[in-house]
Amino acid sequence: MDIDLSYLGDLSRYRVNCRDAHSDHVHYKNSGEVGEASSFSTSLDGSWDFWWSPDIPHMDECFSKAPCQIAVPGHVELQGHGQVQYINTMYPWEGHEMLRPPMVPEDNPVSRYERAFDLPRSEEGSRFILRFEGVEKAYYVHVNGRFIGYAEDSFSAHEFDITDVVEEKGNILTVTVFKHSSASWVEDQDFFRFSGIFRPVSLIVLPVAHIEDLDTKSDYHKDGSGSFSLSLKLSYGKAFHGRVRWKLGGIASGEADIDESVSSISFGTEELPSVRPYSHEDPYLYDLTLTVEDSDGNTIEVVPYRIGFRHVEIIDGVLTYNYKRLLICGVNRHEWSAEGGRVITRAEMEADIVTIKGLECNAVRTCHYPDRLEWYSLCDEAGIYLMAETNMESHGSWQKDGAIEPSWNVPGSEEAWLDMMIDRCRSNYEAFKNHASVISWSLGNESYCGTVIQAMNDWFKEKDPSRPVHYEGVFNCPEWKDRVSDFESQMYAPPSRIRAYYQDGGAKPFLVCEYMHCMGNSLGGFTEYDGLFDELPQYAGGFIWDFIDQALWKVDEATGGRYLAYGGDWGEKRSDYEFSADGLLFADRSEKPACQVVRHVYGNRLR
Amino acid sequence: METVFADLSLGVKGPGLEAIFAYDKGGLESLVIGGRQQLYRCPSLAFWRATTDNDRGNGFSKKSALWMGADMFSIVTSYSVNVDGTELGKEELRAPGNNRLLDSPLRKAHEVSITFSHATCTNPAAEVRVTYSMSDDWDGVRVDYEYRGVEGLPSLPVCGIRFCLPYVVAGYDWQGLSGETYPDRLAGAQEGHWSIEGLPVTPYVIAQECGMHMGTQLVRFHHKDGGVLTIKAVDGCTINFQALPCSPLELEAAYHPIDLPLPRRTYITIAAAVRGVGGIDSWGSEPGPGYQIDAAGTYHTAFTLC
Repeated sequence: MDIDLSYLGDLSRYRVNCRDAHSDHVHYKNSGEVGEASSFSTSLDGSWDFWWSPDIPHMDECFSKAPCQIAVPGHVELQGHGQVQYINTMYPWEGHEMLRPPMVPEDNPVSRYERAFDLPRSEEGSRFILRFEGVEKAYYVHVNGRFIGYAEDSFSAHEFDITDVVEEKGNILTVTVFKHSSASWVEDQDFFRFSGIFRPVSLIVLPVAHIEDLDTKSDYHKDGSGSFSLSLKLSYGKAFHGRVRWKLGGIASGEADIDESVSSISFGTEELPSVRPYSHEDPYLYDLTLTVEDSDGNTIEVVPYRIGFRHVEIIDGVLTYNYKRLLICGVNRHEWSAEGGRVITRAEMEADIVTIKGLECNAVRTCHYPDRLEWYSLCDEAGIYLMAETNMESHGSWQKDGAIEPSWNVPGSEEAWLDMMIDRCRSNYEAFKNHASVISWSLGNESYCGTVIQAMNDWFKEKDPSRPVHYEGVFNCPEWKDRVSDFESQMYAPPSRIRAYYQDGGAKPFLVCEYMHCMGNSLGGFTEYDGLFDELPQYAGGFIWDFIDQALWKVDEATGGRYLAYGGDWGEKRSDYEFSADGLLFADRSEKPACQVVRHVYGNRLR
Repeated sequence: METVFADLSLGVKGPGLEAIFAYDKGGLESLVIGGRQQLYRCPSLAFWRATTDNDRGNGFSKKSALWMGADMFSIVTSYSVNVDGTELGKEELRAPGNNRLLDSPLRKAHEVSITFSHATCTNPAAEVRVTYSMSDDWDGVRVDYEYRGVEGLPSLPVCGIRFCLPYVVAGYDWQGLSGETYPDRLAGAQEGHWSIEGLPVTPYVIAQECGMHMGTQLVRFHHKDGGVLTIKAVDGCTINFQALPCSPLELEAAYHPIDLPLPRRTYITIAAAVRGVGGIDSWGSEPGPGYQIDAAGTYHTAFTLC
């Protein structure tokens, strides 16, 4: 199998033959399918053939043996392959290897996945796409032995066009996953360090004419009116004549003729005299329906989307939503399951929505990476504002044992990291830009600051003037504050520091992007933050750290009983032990006693 | 009430209960209520709470480590008995002084109290007085606890008295505040009548202090066979209670809840003062200054057992 290992350490190779990032819409064959499964999508999840090698030198030997089976999606470590490890800020190779960016550790387990697939029945001119929604951390895709592509960024979806290499039956898909690449330096999130295909894989059929991307702008105006605009990107499998129609609830519609030369269309802005605004309290969404038809009027595909009219703006240093001050009563949420780690089920996501609403939270920060695709739509429907965070954390590169020590730091001001970091912004933005729930883009977490992060900030500002950009890491680099982040964001700031910011003339909305560290028996003093809303007109609120304990079920050898294990319980060194168990919920999703105060304080504040 | 001036003990047989106070042990050695023994050992002074993650992060347990020893060990410095207004000291109570009490009219009493004075195993030592009182028109034992602090000792993890029941309660119900409450996490707690089945330890991944209930008027502990031990606040005040199947040191030693010993007894702590849990961060912030227990202070609680 042709694998160019140089990609792993090459900062310019983070996305090889991947299709462009695009909106997360689902396309259906006809309107009857909407709300059901799309017949254009075939799940490739399930049991795959699997080989595992502890490192690169043993790949050939290990991969020549008979395969075992592995569940996709799933972390390989939780299925018996390799070391489970929880570690916070230190890089996972701490104490084992001395490395500096962008070196790749030698302790780099390799997983090889393989399965057969046939093509679904499809019309002439169809194209076939493989979609991987999440693979940690670097992977090569082959189909029928031919190299298809390579991708990094564990938490963004990647797609590969395999139209030219697939047969009708008996195709072999091979995915070779490396636990580490140079990208490991910017994926140093404080969490369990896993590897493998951990989110769904699917085979997508694109019909002869397909909406690749939709970009909607739905602004709510102060006088109750709204404006709506729509831009589409289109692709074709062969010569095509037809049209695209769109309809937004009963309030706006349009259509345009298209042919294979039309790769993008922008419909002019519609001014709508009266719209029902979207909000946490009233998450009202309008149905947008797009239909692609051929010249005979036959439906080629239907794309539904749910649109909310809202307006986010920082006015005189006050974060506002629909022209009223927005009080963020939020919580940080890692994706977590005590059974599957970061492999979570739809039922778990839906349970989290119910819990978050029940705790009277109005906002979630998707710490510290883009979440499962479904999450954003669930939040749209429920009325949960999202701070949509990009996949970046390099904590271990500038903070050592709690002290700031940036003698080396990535991405910092290293131009070599720029393109891959911008790509992470693009993947985040393009997928989720149409979501009513998203109120802000966050550049990532705890990565210090430099020109690369400023460029990420600028990229979002240019792409999306309608949402403020958040980044906390400038707190440690005050000289960047006038260029990075629309918020004064600090984590774990005591109330006195928040007051001091304004006493010293601070002009941005103050956001505690992490506060009230709910590790063990905690959340004492929570009410003191609530009073800041009354005291400081520019205080924007914060996100509790965090939603759910990250701990995993494990069998106790002494009793045969099951218990929630934490860092170090798999014999891994180094580890930060129980430091990932900071949730309002225990890892089994039952509530900690501290929930009582959250429900009370947030509930009183928002009602 | 009948009083028993035994060689090493004071026995009191009152309406519905029988108590034995041991001079040699320095406390309430036996308490039979409803025909059931309610004490595995004498009550102990409670000064330790199992380190919370926040306590660990801000170094509190290291700074206040001497209170762990004081929780384990304390010294009874003196005791005295009052029967219907007559003071009886060590000389009168212990053999051979008690020989004179065999036919004393004090053998039939209306009111009996006994006070144990303790010195904490710290340097300097603080003083704790625990008084048990009974009256023939009450149906229980009243306990008055008072800690009198001294300067020079580190902040207290908790300040109270701990009862060890020789059985695991089947559950408990209380009149007071909902949920688990600490002085800096009272908001949102609702006044009402609440109950818990069994004797759970709140399952923080690493075992730690848990289960405090502040502002309680009354709590009833249920034996699986139906008997009830009631602890009631007196004088219009409330009490703070915590009921666990293990001691704070057992909690302290457990890496996981599953490491805890199998439940065999019930540990009930009645706290005169409760330290807040804190929460700003888990690596340096103490609870707010109003939520720490100054060891130089004086703390009092009173309640009845019946």
